[in-house]
Amino acid sequence: MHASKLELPQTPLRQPRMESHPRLRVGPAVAVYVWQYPLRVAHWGLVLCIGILSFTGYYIHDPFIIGQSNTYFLMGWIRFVHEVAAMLFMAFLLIRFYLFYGGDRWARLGAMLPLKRKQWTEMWEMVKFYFLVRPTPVPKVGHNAIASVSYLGIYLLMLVEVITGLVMFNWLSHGPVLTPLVGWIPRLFNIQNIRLVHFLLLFVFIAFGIIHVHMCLTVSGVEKRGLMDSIFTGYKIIPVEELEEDDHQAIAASRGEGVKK
Amino acid sequence: MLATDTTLGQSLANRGVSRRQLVKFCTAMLGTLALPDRYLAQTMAAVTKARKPVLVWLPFQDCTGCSESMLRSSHPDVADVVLDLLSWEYHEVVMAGAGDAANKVLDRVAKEEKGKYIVVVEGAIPTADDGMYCTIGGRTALDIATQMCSNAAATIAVGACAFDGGLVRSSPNPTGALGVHEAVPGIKVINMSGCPHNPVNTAAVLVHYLTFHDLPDLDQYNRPLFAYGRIIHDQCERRAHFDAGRFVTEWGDDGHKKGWCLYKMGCKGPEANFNCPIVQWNDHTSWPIRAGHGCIACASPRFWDNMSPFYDRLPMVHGFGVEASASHIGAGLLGSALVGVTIHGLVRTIKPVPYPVEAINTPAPNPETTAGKEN
Amino acid sequence: MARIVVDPVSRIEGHLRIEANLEGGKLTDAWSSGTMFRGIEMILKGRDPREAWIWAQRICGVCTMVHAIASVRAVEDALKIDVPENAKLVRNLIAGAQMVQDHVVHFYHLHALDWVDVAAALKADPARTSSLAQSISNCEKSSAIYFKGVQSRVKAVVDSGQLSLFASGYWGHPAYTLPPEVNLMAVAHYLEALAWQKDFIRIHAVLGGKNPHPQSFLVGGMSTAMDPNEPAAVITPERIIFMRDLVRGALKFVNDYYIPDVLAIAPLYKDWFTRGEGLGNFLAYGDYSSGDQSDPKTFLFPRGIVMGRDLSRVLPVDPHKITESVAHSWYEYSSGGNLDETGGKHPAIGETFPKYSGPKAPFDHLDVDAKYSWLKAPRYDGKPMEVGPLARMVVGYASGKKEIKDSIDGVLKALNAPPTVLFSTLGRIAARALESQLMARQLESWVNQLDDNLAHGKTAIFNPVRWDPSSWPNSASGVGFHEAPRGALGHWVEIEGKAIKNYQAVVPTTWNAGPRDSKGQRGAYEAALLNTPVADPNRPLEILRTIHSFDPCIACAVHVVDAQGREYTIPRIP
Repeated sequence: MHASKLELPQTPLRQPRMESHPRLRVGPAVAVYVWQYPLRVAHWGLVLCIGILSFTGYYIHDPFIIGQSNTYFLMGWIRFVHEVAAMLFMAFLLIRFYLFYGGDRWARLGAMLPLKRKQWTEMWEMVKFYFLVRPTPVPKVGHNAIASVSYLGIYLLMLVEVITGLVMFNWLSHGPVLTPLVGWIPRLFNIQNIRLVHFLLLFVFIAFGIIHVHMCLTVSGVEKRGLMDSIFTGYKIIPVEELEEDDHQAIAASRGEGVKK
Repeated sequence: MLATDTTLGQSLANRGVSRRQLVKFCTAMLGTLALPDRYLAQTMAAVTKARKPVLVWLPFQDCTGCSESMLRSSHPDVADVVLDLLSWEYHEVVMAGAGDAANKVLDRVAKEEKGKYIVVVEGAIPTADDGMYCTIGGRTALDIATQMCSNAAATIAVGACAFDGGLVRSSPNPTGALGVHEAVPGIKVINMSGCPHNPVNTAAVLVHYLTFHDLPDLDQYNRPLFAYGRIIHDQCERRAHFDAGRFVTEWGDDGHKKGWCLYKMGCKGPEANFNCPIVQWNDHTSWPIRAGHGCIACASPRFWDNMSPFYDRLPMVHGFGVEASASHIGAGLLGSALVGVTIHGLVRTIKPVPYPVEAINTPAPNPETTAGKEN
Repeated sequence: MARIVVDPVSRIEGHLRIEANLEGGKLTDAWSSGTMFRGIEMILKGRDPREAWIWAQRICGVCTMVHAIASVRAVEDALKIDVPENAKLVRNLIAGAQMVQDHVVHFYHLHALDWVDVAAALKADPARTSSLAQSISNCEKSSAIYFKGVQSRVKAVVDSGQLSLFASGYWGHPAYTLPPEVNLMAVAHYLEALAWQKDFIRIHAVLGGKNPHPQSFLVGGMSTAMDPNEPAAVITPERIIFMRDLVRGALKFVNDYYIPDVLAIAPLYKDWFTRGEGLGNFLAYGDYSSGDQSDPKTFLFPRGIVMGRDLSRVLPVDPHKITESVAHSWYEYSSGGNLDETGGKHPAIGETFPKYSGPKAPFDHLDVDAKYSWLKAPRYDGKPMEVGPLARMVVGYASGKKEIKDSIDGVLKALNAPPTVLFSTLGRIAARALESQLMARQLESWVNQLDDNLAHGKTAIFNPVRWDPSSWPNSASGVGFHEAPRGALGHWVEIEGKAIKNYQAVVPTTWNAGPRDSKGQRGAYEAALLNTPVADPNRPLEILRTIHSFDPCIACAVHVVDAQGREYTIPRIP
C-alpha cells in the first residue's frame, strides 16, 4: 500500500501559493476539499442556533428584561424564537450526525473515535502542543485527535440538550408523537433536574465555543494550512508529503476517481 | 341493624332534599368530572338507588390536613358526603367511637363488606424498624393498611404523603416512609396528590365511583386526568403577564401589587400538574398564586425534595463545597474558560515557543510507520 | 385492678394511646403515649431557612399555619428583620381566625359527642327544643320546624342502619345525662358548625390562598400585596369587605351558638367542674400584639406563669428554663453535656436519636415503667406545665388583663361559682369558649386597621432587606413564639452558611400529652386523669372527656431534632 502514497494527484485543485510563504519549505502542496458544504452548513447553523438559543434560553431562565406593556408579548416571542431555533438546531445536528456515516473520510465517526493506538499518541502530542511544550501541532488534514474527541463529546452533550429540551416541550404540550418517545423520562429523572441539566449545558456550550475559537486561531496561526479559512471555503492547503494514505484515497474519491493501485 | 335497604335517594328525600336540588348537585359533579350531560340520568340513578357504600378513612403518618381539607368540602357539602352519600364508618378525627369500639369497626368492615368498601388513606406508611413509627391500637400502620386495602374495592390515597410518602419521605427519610401503592403493592389505588388534596377533586372521584363503579381515567401516576392532566402554568390567571414578560422581581414591588407573574420568585407553576387554578380552594375563594405566593408544585411526585428550594427556579447543585446555584456554576465555567484562553494566548505571545523551520512539518511519531521510514 | 387501654383516642389530631389503671371505679394512674413519629426537624436540616415555614407548617394540618408563623418569627428573629405593620395585622388575622375556627370545630365536632347522645336526640320534642334554644340565644335558626328537620335527618340516618361516623359511639352510656332536647339542639348545632367552619375559614383562602396550609407567609412579611387601586392585588377594598363580613359572622356564630351552648351544657354536668384538674401549673408565652410584637405588654393574651393554682402571683417566663426530658420517650441523647437535673436539654441545644424500644406489634400493653411514647417531656424549671386556652385565661386573669378578667368573672357569676372551678375539665371548655369570643371581637379591629392603612396608601407588607441570602451573617440563631389554639408554641432555629443547621419545635401538646420525666413527674394528661371515676371499663367515656378537653394534637407533639446540635449557644430571647 506504500505505493499509493507515492503517487501524487494529477492536478491540484488550485495552484498552491505555498512557495511564496517564507516559513514553508518549497514543495508540492494540494488544496484539499476537507469540509464538505453540508458539514459547513451544519457547523454555521449550529453556531447561529447556539447563539440564539443561549440568549433566549437564558432569558427564559431569568427574564432580565421586564415587559412594560401587554403588547410586547416579550416572553411569548422569546419562547417562540427559542422553540423554532431548537427545531433548526435539531435539523443541523441531524445533518452532522448523518455525516458521521455518510460524510467523507474527515467527517466520519471512524476517523474521530480514538480507537487506534496512533490516535492516542497523537493526542498526547497535541496535549504537549497546547501546553506549549511541542512547538507545532501534529500535521493532520482533518481534525486532530484531541479536537475529534472533544467534538464528539460536545455532540453527545448536544444530544442531551435536545432530549432534555424535548422533555420540557412535551411537559407542556403532551403531544401524541413525543409522549411515547420522551414521556417516560421525567419518571426516571425529575423534571427539575432535567431543567437544571438543560440550563447548565448552555454554559458548557459557550465555554466550549470560547476555547474552540481560541484553539482554532492558535493552530491556524502556527501551522499555516488555512484552518480558519477552511470552515468558510472548505479547503485546506496541505503539503503533499503530509498526506496520509487515507487522505489520498479521500481526495481521489472527492474527484470521482477510483483509488489508484 | 344493617339489614335495611334504604337508598340514598330515600334518605335524601327523608331529609327534605328535593329532586331539583339533587339534579343541581349531580350536574355540578358532572361538571367537575367534565362528563357530558347525557350522564346526568346515570349519575342521578346511581345516587338515588344505591345503598350507601361504606368508606373507611385511615390516617397514618399524617398531619390531618387532608382530613381537614375534606371537612371544607362545599360541593357536595361535607355533611352530605359524610351522612348521605356514603356511610363514613371509620375516621379517627371525627368518628364517635374510640379505642376497641373503633378497632372493631375496621374488622367488621373488612369481613362484612369485603370487596365492596372504599378505603381512603391519609399519610405515609413507615416501613423502617418493622413499622414501629406508627401504631394504632397496638398494630402497625402497615399491618392495618394491608388488611384494609387488600379487602377493599378501591383505595384512594389522598395527599402527598399517601401518594408517595410526601414530606415524611423527604431526605433523609428517617422512618422509611412510603406511599400506599409502594407499601401495599398490588392493590387498586387512585392517587389524589396535593398538600393537602383538594376536596373538590376527591369528592368528584367518589361520586364517579358511586355512579360508574369504576375509577375515572388516570395518568401514569394513577391520578385522575381531569384533575392532574394539565400544568398549572397553562391554567394560571397570571399567564398573560408571563407571556408579556411582566414579572414580580421583589416581594411587594409594583408588579406584585399588579398581580404580575411570580416566575422569578420561584413559582413552580410551569412544573406542576394540578387543576388548582380552575377549582381553587375553600368554595372557589382563592388559591396560592392568587394570594401572591408562588406555587410549590405540591401535587407533583416527591415534590418536597424535587421542587425545593421553593424560592429558586432550579435546584441547588451539590458537591461544590457549599450548595451552588446553577447560574453561579455557569458563570464560574464561563469565567474559567475566558481566563484560561487569555492566559494561554498571553503566554504564547509573551514567550513564544521557538520553532525551527524544519520542525514545522514534523509528523507525530507513528508507531505503525516509523518502522518503514528508512525506505 | 384493671388496665384500661384507649387506642386510638379518636376525635383528636394524630395518634394517641392512653393506658390507665382502674381501681374501685376510679383511675389510680394513667400513661399517655404518642404512637407516631415522622422526624420533621431531621428533614429540615440543610434547607433554605426562608422556606422552613412551608415545611414546618406540615407539622400539623389541624393547627395549620401556627407552625408557619412560629417558623417565620424564628428566622426573622435570627436575621433581625422588622416586619411591616400590615404583615403583622395579616398574621394576626390569619392566626386569630384559626383560633376561633379551631375552637368551634373542637367543641362541636371533636368534643361534643362526649357529652351529647346523638341517639337520644330522637326522643326530643322539637317544640320544646325550640323554646329552649330561644331562651338561651338570639340565634335565628331556632324554630320547631327547623329542629324537626334536623331530627328527621338524624332519624333517616339511624333508620338506614348505616350510622356512618356515629356508628361506634358509646350511645346510651349512663354518663350521658342531658335531657333529649339539649341533645337535639346540640346535634343541630353540630351540623350548623360543620357548615359554618368551612365558610368562615375562607378568610384563610383570601389571605393565604387555601386552608389547610395557607401559603402566603414570607420571611420578612407576607405575600398578600395590598393596593387600593389594583384589582389584581390580594388585599383590596373589595376583599376587605368580604373579610369584614366573615369576621362579623364569626362573632355572631360564637355569640349565638358557641357561648350559649357551653353555658347550657356545662351546668348539667356540674361534677366535671371538679374533675380533670391536673397539674395546676400554667404557662403562656402570650401573643397577638396590635403594636410591637417584641413587647409582651401589648399582647392580647399576656405572657406569664401561674404555679400551683396560685392566682395571686404571675411569674415571668424565662425561656432558658425550658428543657425536654427523654427518660420515658423512645429517644436517646448522646452522652453527657448540658443535662439539667431532670435529665432534660434546652431545645436550642436539643438533640435526639429516635430509638424504639417498646414491645413488638401487635401488642396489648406498653411497658410503662420503661420508655413508652414518641413524645418528649418538656419541663419548665424542672416542673411539668399545662398550656392552652385555660393557661392563657388563667394567666390573663391572674395578670388582671381587663378583657379577660371581665369575661371570666361574667361567666363565674352566671354559674355562681368560685374561680377554682376553672381548674377542671369543664374549665378548659369554658376557657376555650371565652377565648374564642375575645378573639372574635378582636378580629374586626384588625380588618379595620388594614382597611385604614389601605385607604391611606400605607401598603408596605414586606421588608426586603434580608431576602437575599448574601445579606445574612454566616451564622445566626433565633426563636419564634406563638400562642397557638392549643397553647404555647416555640420554634428554635440555627442558621449557618445560608442553611438550617438545627431546628427544634416545642409544641403545646408536647407539654400537655408528654410522658413522665426522669423524676417520674406526670405530664398534664396523666395528672388530669387521676381520680376520674369510670362507670364502664369497656366504654371509658370519662377518659375521653378529660383528654378531649385538652384538644390533643399529637402530630404536632412528636419531635426529634438532629444530632448535630450540640455546641450551640442558647439563642437570644426577645
